[in-house]
Amino acid sequence: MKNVFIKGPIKAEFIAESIAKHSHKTNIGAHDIFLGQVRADKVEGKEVQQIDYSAFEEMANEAFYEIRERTFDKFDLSCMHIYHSLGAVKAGEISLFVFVSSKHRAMAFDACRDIVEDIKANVPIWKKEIYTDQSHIWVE
Amino acid sequence: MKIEVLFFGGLRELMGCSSMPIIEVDTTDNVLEKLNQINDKLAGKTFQLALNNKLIKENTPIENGDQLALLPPFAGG
Repeated sequence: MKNVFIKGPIKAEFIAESIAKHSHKTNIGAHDIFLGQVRADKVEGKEVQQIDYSAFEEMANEAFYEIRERTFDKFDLSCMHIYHSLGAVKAGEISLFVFVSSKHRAMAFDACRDIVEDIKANVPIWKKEIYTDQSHIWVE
Repeated sequence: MKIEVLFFGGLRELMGCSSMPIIEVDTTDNVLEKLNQINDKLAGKTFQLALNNKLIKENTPIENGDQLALLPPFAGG
């Protein structure tokens, strides 16, 4: 089963390379990309410095596999890729990268949104927000 | 009967460990009763259960060696 997790933030270079890898797939007419970025939310005078992501990896990878199956059943896609961070990701860095490709834009837009919502609802991942004063809160 | 219970997210912090063995239990409700005896703050928490990596919605019989995971609300992305 494909491992979706990347330790730490997802770098811009990795995303750029992923796009470049598709240049030979000339049946593709539309890519859609979703990037989740860590927000420096302010809570009671303190600010989010980073998020620590953790997961039940075995079950999460199965959930990602099922999302992949559901998405290919529902949408006519050429390909899809999902990457999610584990561990520390600082404010401003990328923690989720969803990349779908199809012949036409409508299918790519719809599939990408569907996948992101599916991940948020069905994948056992948790985040601990660490604030500038080093206190933390588990996001639920 | 002995099973392994796994904790994730904030529940790992609450219970002070990532896993613990629980003995002399026949159902998932039995396991939860034992866990509540170990830490009564667990009763106020929201979580789902996964038995051997599959989500379960109701009290379920368990087998020796099963793995029960307590999963707080998911927060991916």
